[in-house]
Amino acid sequence: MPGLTKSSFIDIRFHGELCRLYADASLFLPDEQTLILSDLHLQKGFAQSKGAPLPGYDTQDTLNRAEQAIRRNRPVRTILLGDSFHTSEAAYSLPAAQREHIARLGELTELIWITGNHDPDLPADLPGRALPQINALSVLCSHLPAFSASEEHKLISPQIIGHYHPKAKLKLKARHLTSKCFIFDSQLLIMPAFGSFTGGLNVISHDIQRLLGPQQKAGFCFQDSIYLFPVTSAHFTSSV
Amino acid sequence: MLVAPTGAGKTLAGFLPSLIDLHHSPSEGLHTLYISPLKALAVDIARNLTMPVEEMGLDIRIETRTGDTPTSKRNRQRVQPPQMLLTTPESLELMLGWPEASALFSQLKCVIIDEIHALVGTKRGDLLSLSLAALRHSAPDCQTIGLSATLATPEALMPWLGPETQNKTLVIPDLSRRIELDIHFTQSDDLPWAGHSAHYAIAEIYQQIQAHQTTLVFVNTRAQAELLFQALWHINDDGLKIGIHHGSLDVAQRRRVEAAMADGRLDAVVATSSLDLGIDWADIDLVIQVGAPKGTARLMQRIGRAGHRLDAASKALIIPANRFETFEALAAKLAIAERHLDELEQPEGALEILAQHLVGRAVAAPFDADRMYQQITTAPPYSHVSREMFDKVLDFVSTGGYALGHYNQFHRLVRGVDGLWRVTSAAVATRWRMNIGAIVETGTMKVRLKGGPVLGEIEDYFVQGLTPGDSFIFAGRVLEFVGVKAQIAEARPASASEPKVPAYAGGRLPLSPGLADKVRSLLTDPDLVAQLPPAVVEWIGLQATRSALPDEHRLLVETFPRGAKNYLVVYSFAGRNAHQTLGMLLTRRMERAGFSPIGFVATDYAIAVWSLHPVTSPEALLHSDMLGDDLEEWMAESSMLKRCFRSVATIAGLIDKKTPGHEKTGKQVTINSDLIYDVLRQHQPDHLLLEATRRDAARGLTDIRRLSDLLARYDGHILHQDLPRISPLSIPLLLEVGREAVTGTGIDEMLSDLQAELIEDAFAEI
Repeated sequence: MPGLTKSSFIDIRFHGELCRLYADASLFLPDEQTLILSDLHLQKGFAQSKGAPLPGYDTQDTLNRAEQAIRRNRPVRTILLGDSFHTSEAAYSLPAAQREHIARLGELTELIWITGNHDPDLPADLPGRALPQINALSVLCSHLPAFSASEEHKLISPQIIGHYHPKAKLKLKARHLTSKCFIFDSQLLIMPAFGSFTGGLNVISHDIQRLLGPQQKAGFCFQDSIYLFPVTSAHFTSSV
Repeated sequence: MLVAPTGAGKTLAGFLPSLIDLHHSPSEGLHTLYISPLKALAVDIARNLTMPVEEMGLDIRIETRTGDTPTSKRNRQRVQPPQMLLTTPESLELMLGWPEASALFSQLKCVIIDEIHALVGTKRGDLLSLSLAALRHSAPDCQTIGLSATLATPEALMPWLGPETQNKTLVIPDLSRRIELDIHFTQSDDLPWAGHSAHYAIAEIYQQIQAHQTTLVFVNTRAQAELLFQALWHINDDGLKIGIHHGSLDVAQRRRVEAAMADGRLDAVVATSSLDLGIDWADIDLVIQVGAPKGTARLMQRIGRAGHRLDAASKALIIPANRFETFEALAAKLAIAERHLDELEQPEGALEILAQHLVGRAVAAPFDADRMYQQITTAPPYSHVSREMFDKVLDFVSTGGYALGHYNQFHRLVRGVDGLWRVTSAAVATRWRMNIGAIVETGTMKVRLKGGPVLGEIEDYFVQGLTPGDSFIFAGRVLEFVGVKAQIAEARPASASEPKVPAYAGGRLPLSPGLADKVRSLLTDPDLVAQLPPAVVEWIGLQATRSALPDEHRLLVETFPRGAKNYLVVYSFAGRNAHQTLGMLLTRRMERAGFSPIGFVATDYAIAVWSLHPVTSPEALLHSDMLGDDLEEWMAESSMLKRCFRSVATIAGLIDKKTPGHEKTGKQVTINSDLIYDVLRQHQPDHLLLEATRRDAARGLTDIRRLSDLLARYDGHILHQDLPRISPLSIPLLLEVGREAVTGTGIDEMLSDLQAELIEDAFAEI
C-alpha cells in the first residue's frame, strides 16, 4: 500500500502528470523541474501592524523556508502562485534585507510571479517575470480558478490554483488535528498557503467543495510529514 | 486594613469614616472612591448604602460606574462627579486615563478596596496596584481602606495600603462565627464514579430547599449551574421559586434574581462564584455546596453567606458529586473545624499589565520615564521590577521592541523634545480604551430568544458547533438553535430530552495545597475512612487489596493495560495545574523513551497517561531532574504557552480583544496569535512578550514549585504496582473529561493507521 510510512513528500498523478507534494506546502513537478509555492503573503505582519507593532519576522521566515525548498529541489523555475505579497503597497515597502534575499533566490531559480487578488500590481524590480497565469506541462497554473466562458461553474481544466488556503480538521481516536493541506480531484489541485502568517479555510467548506468532484483527496501536512486521505470520510470535521 | 469574615458588615464599616467626614464638613467633588472586584457587588453596595444615608437625611450623592453604566450617566459623572463613586478596577484605570483625571481626583479623601484578598495575586490585582500608585500621585493625602476576608497571614496585605512611610493599622475584630457544616454521605451505592452534576442527590437538595426558608446552592462552574437548575425544576412538583445566577447571564436577568432574592421572593438560587462575594441578604438560612469545595477560604466565604446575624450559626451542607469528592468534602470539613486557612499567593506583577498601564499613563498626560519608574515601583507587585526591565517594557510599548531595524512607522509612544513620553495618535488612545483590563475572554456571542430578550452570552466556539435545530441549555431554559443573525445567536424554546450544555472556559478551580495534603493523609487514617459512605469504604478496601493505597511516604504509581492502550497512573495529589505540567513532562520523557504516549488526563488528585507501549520502570521517568531541561523545552513548545501568549499579547495591546460574535471567515482579518508566537520564538526568543509569557505560565502553574517539592520528596520512594487490569482507584480518572493529547510519534502512528484504514475503506467501496 502506498505512502504508509512517515514521509516528507508523496508522489501523486494529477491529470497524468507526476506531482510531488511536500509537507512544507510546496509542490514539485520533476518532469518540468518546476517548483510551485502559493500564497506567501509576504509583509502580512507589517501590513496588519496598524495600531500595534506586530513582529515583522514572518517575511524573513517565509523566505527562509522558500529558500530551503528551492535548495532541496534545485528547480529550473519556481512559480509563486499569487498573493506573494499581502498587499501591493507592502510589496513596495519591502525592507532592503528581504529585497536582497529575493534577489538571491532569483539567482538560484527563475522566479515566476503570478499575480493574485492581494498583489495585482508587483514592483518592477523583482527578479524574474510577473504573469497572470502560466502553463506547466499540461496544467494551467493561476491564483484563482479559471471558469469556462460558455458553461457556468465549469472549470477550464486542469488547473493548479492557490487563493483558498485549504486546511483540514481530522478526527482521530483521541483528538482533533488541524493543519494545512493540498486538496485535489482529477481536474483541480488547490495548493496550501506557504506564508508564515497565513490562516486557512476548512476543505469541507462550501467555497472549496463547490469546486471539486466526489473523488477528492487531501494531502495533509502535519509537522514534517504529509499524509494522503480520500476526503469522503467522516474523519473530516467542520468546526475549526 | 479591616479583616473580618463574610457577613460581619465590614463593607459598610469601611464607608463610615467617609460618611462622618461628609456629615461634618460637606463638600462637593469626588470624596470617596470604592473599588469592588465585581460589578454586581458595586451595584449592591450602592443600593444598601443609599438607604441608610437617605434615612439619616445626609445629603450625599452615591453613584456606580462600571462597564454596564449607560453612556449618558458616564458622561455626566465626568463633568459632575458624585461624592461617592462605586466602581471596578478596570473603570478606575479608564478614568485615570482622562485628561481631567488629576483635577477629578485632587480632592479625593478616601479610597476603599473591598474584598482585596480576591484581587491580590491576580492580574486584575496587578492592574489595581498600578492604578492606585497613579491615583496616589494625583491625591497624595488620600486614605486607603482595605477590606479583606479572613486569611492565614493578613499582614501580607499591608503594603497595599500605601508606601512604607504611611501610617497603617491592621484591625481584626474577634468575630468568629459558629459553623454547622454537614456532608451529605449517601448510604446507598448510587454515588457516581465521575462527573460533577450530583444528579444522584437531586432529591436531597430539593428536600433541603423545601425545609429551609431561603437556600443558596453553590456549584463550581456555569455548566453545572445550568444542569442542576434544570434537574431541580424537573422535580419541582411543589412549584418552589428557584432562580439561577452566573456570570454569562444578561445583566438585567442577574439583577432581577438579585432583587427577588433580597426581597425574600425566592426559595433558592443556584449560583456560581458570581455570588461568592457581596453583602449579605436577609434570611439565607442554608448554603449548599454542590461538588468539591476546592479550598477552605472559598468554602468559608460561601458558608458565610448563610445566617444573617453575627450571633447565629452559619448552616451549610456539602454534596460531593462523585467518589473522590467525598474525600475532599471530609478534608474540608476537618480543615474548617481546625480553622485552617489557605495562604495568599503574591507573585510578581505581570509585565503585560505594566505595558498596558504605561500606554494608559501616556494617554492621560506625557510622562517622564524616571518618575514613572519610581511611581510603578510603589505598587506592591512591581516593587522589585528592575530599571532595565522597566525600560524594556517601555521600549516594547513604544516600538514593539523588535530587533528588526526598519520598523518605525507604527510606534505607539514617542519621546518628545521635552524628554516626556506621549502617545503618537488619538487612535492609540482609543485602542487602549477598547482593550483595557486583565481578563481576556474567549470570544462570546449574545443569545436572544427569537423576537424576545437577550438572555446572555455563550462562547463563540459552542455556537459554531451548533446546527439549526440543535437544542441546548442556557439561562435555565432548553432552547432550540435557530441561527445567527447580525452576530447574535437566535433561539426558541424547545423541549428536547438530551440538550447540549455550553462549555465555559475557566471556572475550573484548582485544589488548594492545604486541602490536597489533608485528602492524602485522610486516606490512610482508618478512623476517618470509616466516616465515608459505605460504597466509598468498600471501594477503598478493594483498592487496598488489588493494588495499594496512596500514603504520605511513598508515591503510588500504577501501570496496567486496557484495550489497545497501556496506562500509567500517578497519585500525586498536587492539584490539577501541577498535574497538567507533570503530564506534559512525563509524556515528553515517554516519547523519548519510545513508549509512544497518546494522551493524558489530569485531575486534582492524580494523572493518567496512556501510551501504545507499556512503561516498565516508572522510577526513571519520575526522577526530579525532569524539572530541568525537560521543563524548559516543554515550556517552549506547549500549547499552554500559546494560550498564555494569546492572553499576554492581548493585554499588552499587540492584538485586539475579540469582539463579540467576531468570526473568522475565509479571508482572515486577524493573524492567529499561534503563528505570531512561533515566528517570534524563532527569530527573537528574548522578546519581552515571550518573557512575559513564560512568567505567565509559571504563575498559572504556581504549582511548578508544588511539583518540584513533590518530585524531590518522592525521589527513590516510588511504590510501583504493575497490575493485570485497571485498579479501582483509577476508574474515576479514566472517566474524566478534558483530556490532553500528545503530539509525537504516537500521533504519527495513529495518523498512519487512520490513513491505512481510510485507504482500505476507499478501496473496499469500489
